Amino acid sequence: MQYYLIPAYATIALTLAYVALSVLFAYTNSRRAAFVTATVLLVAIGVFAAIMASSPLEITIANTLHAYPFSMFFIMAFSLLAVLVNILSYRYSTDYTAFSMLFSFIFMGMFLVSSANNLFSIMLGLEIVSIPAAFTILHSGKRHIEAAVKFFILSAISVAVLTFALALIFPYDLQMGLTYLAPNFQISSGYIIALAIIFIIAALGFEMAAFPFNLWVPDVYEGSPSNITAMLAGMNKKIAFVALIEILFVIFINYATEFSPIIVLLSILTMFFGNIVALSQANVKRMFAYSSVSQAGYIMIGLAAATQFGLEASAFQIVAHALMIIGAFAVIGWMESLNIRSVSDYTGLHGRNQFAAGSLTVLMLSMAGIPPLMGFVGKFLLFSSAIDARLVALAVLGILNSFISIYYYARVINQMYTRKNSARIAAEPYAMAVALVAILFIFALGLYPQPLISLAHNAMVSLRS
Amino acid sequence: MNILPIIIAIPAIALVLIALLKERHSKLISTASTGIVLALSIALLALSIQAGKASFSQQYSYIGSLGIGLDLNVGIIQLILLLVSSAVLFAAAMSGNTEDEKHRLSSFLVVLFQLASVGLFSSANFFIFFIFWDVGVVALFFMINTLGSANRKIASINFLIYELFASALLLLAILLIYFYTPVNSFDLSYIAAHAGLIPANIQMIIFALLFVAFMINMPLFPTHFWLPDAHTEASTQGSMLLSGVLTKYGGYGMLLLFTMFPISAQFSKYVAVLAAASAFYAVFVLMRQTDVKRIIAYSTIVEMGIIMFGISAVNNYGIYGSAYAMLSHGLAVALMFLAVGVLKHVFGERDIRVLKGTVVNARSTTYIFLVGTLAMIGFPFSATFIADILIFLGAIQAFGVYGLIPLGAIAMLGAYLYFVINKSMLSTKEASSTVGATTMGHRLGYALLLLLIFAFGTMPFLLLNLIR
Amino acid sequence: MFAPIVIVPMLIGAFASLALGSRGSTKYVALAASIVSFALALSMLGTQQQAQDVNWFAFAGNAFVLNFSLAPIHMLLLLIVAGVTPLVLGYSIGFMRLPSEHGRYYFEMLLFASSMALFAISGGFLTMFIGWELLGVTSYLLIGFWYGKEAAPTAARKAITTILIGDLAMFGAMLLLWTAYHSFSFAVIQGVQHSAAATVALSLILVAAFTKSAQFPFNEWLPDAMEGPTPVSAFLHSSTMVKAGVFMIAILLPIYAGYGMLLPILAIGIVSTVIGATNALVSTHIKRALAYSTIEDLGLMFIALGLNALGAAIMLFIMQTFYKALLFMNAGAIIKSNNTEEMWRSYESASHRPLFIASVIGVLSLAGVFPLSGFFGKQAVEGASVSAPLVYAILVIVQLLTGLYIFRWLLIPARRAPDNIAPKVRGGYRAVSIAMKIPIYVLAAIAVAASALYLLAPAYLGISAPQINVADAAVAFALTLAALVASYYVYASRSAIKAAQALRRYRSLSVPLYNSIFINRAYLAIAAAFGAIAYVVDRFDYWAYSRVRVVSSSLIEMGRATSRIESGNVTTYAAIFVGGITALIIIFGLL
Repeated sequence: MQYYLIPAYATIALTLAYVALSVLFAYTNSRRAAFVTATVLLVAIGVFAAIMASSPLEITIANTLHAYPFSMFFIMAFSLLAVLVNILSYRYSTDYTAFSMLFSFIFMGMFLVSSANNLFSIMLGLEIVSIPAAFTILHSGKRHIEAAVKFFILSAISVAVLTFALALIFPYDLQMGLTYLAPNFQISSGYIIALAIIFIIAALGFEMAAFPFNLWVPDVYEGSPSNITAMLAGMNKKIAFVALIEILFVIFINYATEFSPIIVLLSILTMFFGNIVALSQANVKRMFAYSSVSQAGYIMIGLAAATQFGLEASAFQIVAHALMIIGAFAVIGWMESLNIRSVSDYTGLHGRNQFAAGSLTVLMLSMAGIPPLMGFVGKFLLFSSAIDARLVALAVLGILNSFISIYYYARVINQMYTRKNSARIAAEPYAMAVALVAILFIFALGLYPQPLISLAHNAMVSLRS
Repeated sequence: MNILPIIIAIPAIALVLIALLKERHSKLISTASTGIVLALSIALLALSIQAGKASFSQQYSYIGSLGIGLDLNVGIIQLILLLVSSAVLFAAAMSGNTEDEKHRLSSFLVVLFQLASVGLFSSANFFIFFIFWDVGVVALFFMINTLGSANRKIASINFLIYELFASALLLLAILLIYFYTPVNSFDLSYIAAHAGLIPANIQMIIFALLFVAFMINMPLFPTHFWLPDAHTEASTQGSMLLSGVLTKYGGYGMLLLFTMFPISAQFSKYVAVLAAASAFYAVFVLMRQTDVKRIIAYSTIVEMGIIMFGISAVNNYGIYGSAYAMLSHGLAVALMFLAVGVLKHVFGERDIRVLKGTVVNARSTTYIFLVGTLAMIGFPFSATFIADILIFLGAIQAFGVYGLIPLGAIAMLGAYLYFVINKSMLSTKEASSTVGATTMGHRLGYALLLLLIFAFGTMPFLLLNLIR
Repeated sequence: MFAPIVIVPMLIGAFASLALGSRGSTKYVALAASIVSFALALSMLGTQQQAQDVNWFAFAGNAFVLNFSLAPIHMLLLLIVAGVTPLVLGYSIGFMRLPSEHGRYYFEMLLFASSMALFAISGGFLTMFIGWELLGVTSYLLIGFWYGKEAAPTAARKAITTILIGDLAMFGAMLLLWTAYHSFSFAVIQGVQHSAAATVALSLILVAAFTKSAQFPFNEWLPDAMEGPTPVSAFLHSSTMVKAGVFMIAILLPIYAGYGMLLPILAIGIVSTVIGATNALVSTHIKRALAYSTIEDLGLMFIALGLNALGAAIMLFIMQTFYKALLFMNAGAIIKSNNTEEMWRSYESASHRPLFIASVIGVLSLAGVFPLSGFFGKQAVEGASVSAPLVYAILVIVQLLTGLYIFRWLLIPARRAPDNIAPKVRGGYRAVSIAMKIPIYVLAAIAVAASALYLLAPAYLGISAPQINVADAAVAFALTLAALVASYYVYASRSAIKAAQALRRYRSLSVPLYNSIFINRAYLAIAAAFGAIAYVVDRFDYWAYSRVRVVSSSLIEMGRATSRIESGNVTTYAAIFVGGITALIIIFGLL
């Protein structure tokens, strides 16, 4: 065993330890121990993953887990995001230990999907991600039952579709390996491939919040407690992207010209749907739900470009947006706990708590794509990749959507900075900490994005080889 | 020693200081920051005169994989714009925020806008240009939104929408430029040298995008609707910066557009007509206005129409004349807005039907308004005179006798401004009552702007000798 | 000596006055400064180096030069300006009694004088334009000087609007000529080749000249400008500024002759002369009558120029200075003593003999009676017109009208006052300050002595002496005499009242004489037209702006409509899910 591969093994070991300890602490109901353990382990996982992500080394462990820069990149990202979600949940979750246990399963599922080297692992991992997610929503209170049930039913449908897709592919690749479909094997008709691609996109599109599979998003996001919404938007959605990248750009890589138009169409529809409906929302949480729907559309631009550059841009934006949305829902959750929900409730927020208003402003400006913030860099890379792939119309529509989104963000900013005499809001360390981390990344990666771009580059190169 | 990076660094440092230190230090920091940058700009001018030409540059890497960096390059036109923006910023910072007590916020926004302006005018590639554009727009949005008067909310959002729409067009254009030039580049000098190699239909699209984007910002009819409201609702500082500096972003962009892309020469005549029409349109609307601030706001549209007219001539006189005009107009309009702001501060009124006899209680301001009017219409010894000479010489060269038509708009503008001065300000019959007094900060602002207007009006060779 | 030096003392005096403000020494400092300038001007007589140029700036390989010239004609105007200034300022010492006004007043007056001097010594368009603009602004400030009155600022606005048109016309012309010749200098531009641009430029210069010199149709600002203090009227609006247009055309006359553009000058001159004479006849305001008279004088100068008689024009140009300034100063004395500007409410102007004699000298000079200097000026012009019979005929009629109105002007205020106010009025005349009287006497003396210039000036200027037609002079004298008799009969004799009653029956015939009203109505109509256009454009602007807001609200409506797809119903979602897959299959299956 080469010693320079230790970090890879370490990540796996620590993940298993994380799961085991979470279960244990759930059983003994020790909140603080659970929180501290989770945070420490997740940070450690993240560090090791980062080390592995910046080197080109690869290894397949136990024939199922492929530790290579691509998987390490996303595991690094997800562990950071998991820390943030954990902090939020520690503060806001009704039954933290139970959540922590379920969340550890979710994390393990994400690990599995990222480092999958065959389709079964992907499917399994996705299941492990979605089912506990549904249960976390269910477990958090009676008024969240509707959201949980909706989520569960629709994810069941998507899984069914995914399974069917895999069934279509199965005859052509009995190993179901995550290798590209050999170009010389006989397929009686391309329709099978097309069908399979569509089903896969549909199934993953559910989780990714692509139109028209994303109708559940606003209801579920609004109906769940904010820490879970953060998780859904920041992590669950992203893992679907990871899965999609793995499947489309490895197995179906030779069919890029076929699936690219599909993604273009979905991207356009998703962006418009998200942005236009967001314009008419009065509830801030719902508005952000629609906003994150449209953000999924932007990420799809990079995938539609189907070039190396496009994948890197999408990877960058995946991480960037996850950070932003978790930070946003941190603040929104904080406001929710004080019964501030609608846009008019946010009036005068600047006077009540400068940090809340300021952080939300920075987050929204970043999501709108204002330089020199991280969100701008991501969008810039995405639009560039679109034009580079000569998908100029797509870039135009993307920029147009970016511009439309400013409208509803500006409305909220406007309200926050209006003067209104209201009671001061006390500081809330957990939510503020999460938001602060998000903002730090927004500025740091906005002014100096090169590190993340290099890691993404590394990851995508390793995927293609 | 290279001054350029210092000019960018100082506002950045000032931003951090303002955020961290006590509120009562904010105004001092912002004044210092803008003052130092002004001094450095003048130092750049001095160095240029000594060397016989203006050329400074600096580079820092940003997104290495795309070849994008914080590249700075200052030539004669950039130097002119740096001078006007730093002067107006200093005057704005000095005169302070008298309408409200939010010193930290206003100082922060002024310095942020300073960073954006200085960065934009010294940018050597379009990417940086775009970034600073957005930063400047957002900074002013907040300035209007938080520090303006009663109806500022709608005005500020309108402003934001228009400007960010323009920036969206700008982004698309620069991306197209990047991917359709032989070696993908945002670099301005590279694009200028190779713009002819972009396919003709793409060039057309790029021209259209950039033209509309800059047209919104300048502004020209028919995309001017955001300006009067934005001005009416902004604070004095906001107006000075809006008209004195932000509109120059678009003017500078137009200069770049017409000097870099050969295809623009085809549209010279149409653009000239549009510019003249815009100027006349604005002056007609102006004659019906009763709010002094709105009057000056529309006069900005008139002047930018004249400037655009000069640019559309696409010859040496027109291009450098427009740059000079941006300098002179920026200074003059900042002076006017400062005077108007003081009138509001002293009398609590801006309506010329109500404001009477200001010469009794605010003599210096009234005469400054008169001098400002002279500066705006191109009276000899003001920088505008030189600018007008150059612009109209360029226009005659390009359009023959028709190049003189926009003079009519200037005539009408002057007539109405004299009317305003005469009817309301110069009167003793009913002198308005006062609610405040002119401060030393205001007077210093007047002095600085007047000095520069006069200096560049009597010594044009300082800048003109640098042009090869 | 470097020409602009003559301006320096005036400028120093101007700023010193501003600084000294309401102190007693202000007026003396101003006067001293003007005298020093005059001395400097005198010392420049006979200077060898006449054309002096200063390189201002260069651009694109071309130099932009400020040309100065001390050629005889420029020297002449400079001496006139520098000489009249001390007289006017001295007069002001007696006229402007309020110390609080002094700082501003003397500052603006000396600034005006400097601009006029700059104008006089300019050898090229750029320099001239600078002077031109400065003249306009200082005039605006001085006309509207007493801004407490309602009428003064209004008059100032009218003046500056008219002058602004001229300013920009001149600017345009200047640039057009520069484009052709790359020079502003008058000497260089003399050799003009025919081209459309040059024609336009020359026309614009004409427009500029007519606005400044209050010729038709730009003449109405001048009578209104009388709202300013009398010294201002005496200075700007009779002897110096209004003659700037004449001067400019005079310098460029060979070019206009070469282009065959003399006819417009002649025509406008004739119309303006007639307007001036007729309106002066019916004006009841002491200074306005003189203002119309000035318009007539300027019209005569333009007629001379239009007939290519440069000598005649210059002769009148010189002579008119003296009698006009004199008459205005007299008017000031009358106004101060009677405390009114209305002719019919002024009395006893004959009570103070020396003043009355001075005014008689001025009046006779204006009417062109030999051997006063005005005779040489007026007859020079009439003599030049003899060759054009139509013009001559008009001038003869104008001569008659001139006599009528000027004697009317003289005799009405000379009436005896009603007994109750007679002592006060007479006392008023005696109380007229010595500072006012001295310049009046000096000017009267000059009005007599300047006749000598008829012999000296042409030689100095290097032009042929204007011919005076003896027969025509006799006719003119006869007409003047007739006018005197008639005026005396109507206004001053014992049968004055009966005569006045008789005249009233023919009142309706005099309507054409009030023709300035029509011009004023035309101005108002033009202003209204602009106002109407402005109204329409403004309404459009407002309407268009509100349309733009519609776009943003419709976006929101779209949002609301689209959000109805979110019914909350799970089965609906599931159905759409499946429907989406189906749609995709169909769309892409077809590909």
